[in-house]
Amino acid sequence: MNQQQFMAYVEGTMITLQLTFISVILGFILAFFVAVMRMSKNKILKSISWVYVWVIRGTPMFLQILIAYFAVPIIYRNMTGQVLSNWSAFGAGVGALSLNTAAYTSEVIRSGIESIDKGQWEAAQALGMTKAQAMLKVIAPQTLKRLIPPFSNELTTIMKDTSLISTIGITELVKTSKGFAASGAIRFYFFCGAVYLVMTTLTTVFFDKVEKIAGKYE
Amino acid sequence: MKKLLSVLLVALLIVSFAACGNKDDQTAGNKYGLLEEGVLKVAMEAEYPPMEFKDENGNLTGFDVDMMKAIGEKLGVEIQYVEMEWAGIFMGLTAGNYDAVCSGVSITQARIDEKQMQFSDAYMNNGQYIVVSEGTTNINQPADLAGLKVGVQFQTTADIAAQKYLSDGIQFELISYDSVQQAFLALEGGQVDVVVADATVAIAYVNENNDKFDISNAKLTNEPMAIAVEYGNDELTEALNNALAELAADGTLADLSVKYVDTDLTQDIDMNLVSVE
Repeated sequence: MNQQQFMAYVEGTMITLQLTFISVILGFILAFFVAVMRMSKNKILKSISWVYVWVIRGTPMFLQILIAYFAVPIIYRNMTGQVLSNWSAFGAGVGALSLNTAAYTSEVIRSGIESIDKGQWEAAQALGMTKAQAMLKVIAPQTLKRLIPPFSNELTTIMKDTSLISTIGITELVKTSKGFAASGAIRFYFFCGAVYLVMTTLTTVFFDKVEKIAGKYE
Repeated sequence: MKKLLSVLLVALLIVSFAACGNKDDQTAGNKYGLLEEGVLKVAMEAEYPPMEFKDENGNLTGFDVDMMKAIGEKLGVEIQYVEMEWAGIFMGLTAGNYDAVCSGVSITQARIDEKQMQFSDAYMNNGQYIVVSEGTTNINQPADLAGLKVGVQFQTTADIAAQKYLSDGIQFELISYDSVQQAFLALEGGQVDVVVADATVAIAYVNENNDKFDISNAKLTNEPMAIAVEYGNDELTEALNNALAELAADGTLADLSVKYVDTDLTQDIDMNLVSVE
């Protein structure tokens, strides 16, 4: 591997990491709201979040990416006659990934909260806590710890799925490797795999540690 | 942990070597140097109208498809089409997955020099054109791309040329897609300002959408199309050349060109290669 190729890999890795972390952070924030909507007593909010999770989890992410990048600007143009300016591949990619991971993560958050025994709600309220207090002081801390393993899992999944973004013109790790391997140098595939393994292993190890630390307070 | 890592690395190495395995002896003896007796396996990227694409019923069609069928009849072999993604399509020749790539392949000096593949005689005139939105003018040379968003298909000669323009100091944003269809979709959606593509594809696309798109006057390169086979497979190259000569003589190629590109691009093929790479 020459210096130019090495730099291309550094750049590709940075793009993969940016796509992953921006999407996962945005996705987590969105997931929180979706989970709250899903558990709310308001039927409309509940239905919206249900449809959202149903559509996103029931269709391939690859298709969602194609729609976000190719279909949205054309629909916009047909409806308004205007070009949707600055519809970037990075933005559409992050959008699709965030919306996707939010659907999965919202279910993780919901099941995390619902897995806490009902008795704890009742006990907290018996002690005179308001609903919000019970949530913040009793339920949320316990939920967070339970969220760590599935969240770590979702993070590594998204990290690998960023490779799908290459189809809309983003040169991340896999596309960098595809380019170098195109003339037969298949070693780049394996090098690419090794870079992913390092990243996913570090993520897993990190969250294992976090889980252990969080576990001390249970 | 260290032990586990080294085991993994060794496993990876073994897989790599196995994947590099030599397969030269397998083909010896088959007529025309084919991988399988009586079957010519040809790879194409079927998202490249009018050269190869799917019709509304999902059937593989296009200039290359019909031409290979005619070649198969001339040689008395069965044609088996293998659909591949473009980036990496030539790797399948080295890997021995198929005998030939007939997918609007440009002859370029770099591809000749690399000695990964060799070419049949050229069957169609081709070069790169710039497709622009209707009414856009003044884009006639690479320098005019400055400041624009330029769409190309990943790993095509258009992509390679655009990379070269970038390294020559022309400032524009290059966006490469997996298929040329996606590049055109992006042009339609406004994510790119222009698309650089092969003449045949550009002409066919603009003909179908002439209310929306125009083609610029300048032909940026000259890179006629040919069938690619594995480097060193002279037997197959010769067989293909003989069949192509017959199809040119009896007018089949001209008819197919008129059928798919509206004009005959198979005459007087300009072999003076001008590539940007």
